[in-house]
Amino acid sequence: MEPVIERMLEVQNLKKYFSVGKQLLKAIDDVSLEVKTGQSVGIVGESGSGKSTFARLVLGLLEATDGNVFFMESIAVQPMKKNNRSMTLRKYAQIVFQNPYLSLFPHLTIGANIEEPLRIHGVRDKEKRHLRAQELMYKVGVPEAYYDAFPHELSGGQQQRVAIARALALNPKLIVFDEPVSSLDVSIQAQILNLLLDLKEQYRLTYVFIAHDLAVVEYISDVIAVMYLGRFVEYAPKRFLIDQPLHPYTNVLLESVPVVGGSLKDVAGRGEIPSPLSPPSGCPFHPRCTKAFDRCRLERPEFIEVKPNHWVACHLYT
Amino acid sequence: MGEFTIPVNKNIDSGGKPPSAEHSDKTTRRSYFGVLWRRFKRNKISLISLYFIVFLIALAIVGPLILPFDYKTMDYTALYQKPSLKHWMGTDDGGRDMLTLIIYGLRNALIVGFGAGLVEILIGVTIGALAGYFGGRLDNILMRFVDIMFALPSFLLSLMLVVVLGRNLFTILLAIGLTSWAGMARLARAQVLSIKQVDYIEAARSLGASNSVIIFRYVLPNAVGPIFVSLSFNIPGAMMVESGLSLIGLGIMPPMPSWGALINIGSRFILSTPHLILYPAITFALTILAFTFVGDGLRDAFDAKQSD
Repeated sequence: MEPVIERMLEVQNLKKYFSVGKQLLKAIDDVSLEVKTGQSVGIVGESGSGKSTFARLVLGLLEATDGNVFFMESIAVQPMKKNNRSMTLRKYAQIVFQNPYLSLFPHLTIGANIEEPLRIHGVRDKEKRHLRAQELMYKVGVPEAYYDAFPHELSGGQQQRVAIARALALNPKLIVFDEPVSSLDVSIQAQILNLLLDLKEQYRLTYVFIAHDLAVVEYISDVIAVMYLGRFVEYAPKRFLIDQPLHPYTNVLLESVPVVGGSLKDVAGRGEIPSPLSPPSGCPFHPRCTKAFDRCRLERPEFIEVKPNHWVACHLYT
Repeated sequence: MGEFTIPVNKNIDSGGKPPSAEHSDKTTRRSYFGVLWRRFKRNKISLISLYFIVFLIALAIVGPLILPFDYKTMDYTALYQKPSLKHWMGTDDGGRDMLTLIIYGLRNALIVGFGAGLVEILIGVTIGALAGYFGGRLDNILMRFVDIMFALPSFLLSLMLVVVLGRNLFTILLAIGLTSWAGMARLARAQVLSIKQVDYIEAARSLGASNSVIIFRYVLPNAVGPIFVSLSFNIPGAMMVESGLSLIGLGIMPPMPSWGALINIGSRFILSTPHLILYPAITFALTILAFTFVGDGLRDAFDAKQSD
């Protein structure tokens, strides 16, 4: 019996700075997060907020500037060690990308794509791989007839199912989804999300689910973190975050979710996300915030726990 | 994990067509090359050209074995003969059978063409792929070297190499291959650079694939298209260089025939006995043309946007 792992993923003060010319781009600036086993954590934010960078950092696909990431309590993902490819990390932590057409191997058939993780991890028995691929195709709802098809012959939804099957091949514990449904039609989005919920239950998976669409994140997550310009501005269990959002930016995101039968409202947040190269002074959200006051322009709010398990970075609550 | 069903309708979003009907009845596994071949076949001119090249290769192998003449023996009783039943393409200024000379010339041209192509691929793709994949300082050093190779006139360089290395088939193909891989290196680098950015390479890394697995299993198979297309244009290119060397008297050592040398000699008798230049020139042109058409066909076949 292997020891029970409670904390699947721990992110501590993670930072990732890119130098752009002479300037410093703070893509991820001091982010901490704990993902418990079996949890589904959603990360929501606009494009340019650093979500994808975050995904790559926690999987060790990108080297962090500073901070720690631990996987399954014992594996140090960040800081990255040179030439250390932890096969445990590569086996138990998987990623599903936004565009399955780009993330599947274009020169391999669907079957070969799903079997590829097994090949990399040394499963030599062809028959075994084949059976596993068939089983996975059944699990994710891809018809067996597609085994010998190539990725470009499938629809976007089917391609994403194949990408999910490939991520499942090694019986992972953690799957990071980087905008997995945003390239799909709305009707297919729902199917994929339902599939993900089913798979999570069946395999007792832990999810980190990244999207820009709060409605999508809400559907799949237990806990939601809102990201703005490389930082978390609010973190709370789904129920609290949706019903009693504290940060004005979360409000903006909630209002921007279209409601069937509702009329289009003017969204409170003005303008676009500022350039991370020259973030605003004080609270980075203040130029777009309707509730901003003097202090917001001068002082950056701390990320604090204002209610049990409900964190927010906003001067309204300090 | 035992028995469970997923409450998802399996076929609801199958917007993509199922694997084409002509294949669903077959049980054989489909391969990447099978698909390429099917696409290639659609271009009839390319297909005919490919058959023509295969025929030329067969001729170059079998020809010397069954020909009643050889390329060395002079026959002073039969100089400058017009095509006849005995000599299908006539005889040259030494009374040698033109057909025999052309077939030996073909054999040499093919050896030089494919050999030089192979050398170009080995050097060019290795250097280009390393530079593109690892980037940084290595890329800088390798590509400056490529720039230098590109800047030097390759024909002159080949000439010098032939002078230094000597004049036989092997040194000539080496001299051509060693001086003309720079374009291939740039192409390979550009390919690798663009493929490296695509998500499936990151997917491979997140699955734990090592650098060598990534290069050989995911990057190169997706980069070979343009490389093969380029090769199919470089092979006739190398043949041209070889005949160029022969033309100025630095090619394959006589009496071993080379198309360049044949054309050179033929040009002297163009008014009196035109068949001496006509036949080698026509075969040469047809061969070059065939390679070019095959290259076109390959380019279309590798175009992933094309459906099959």
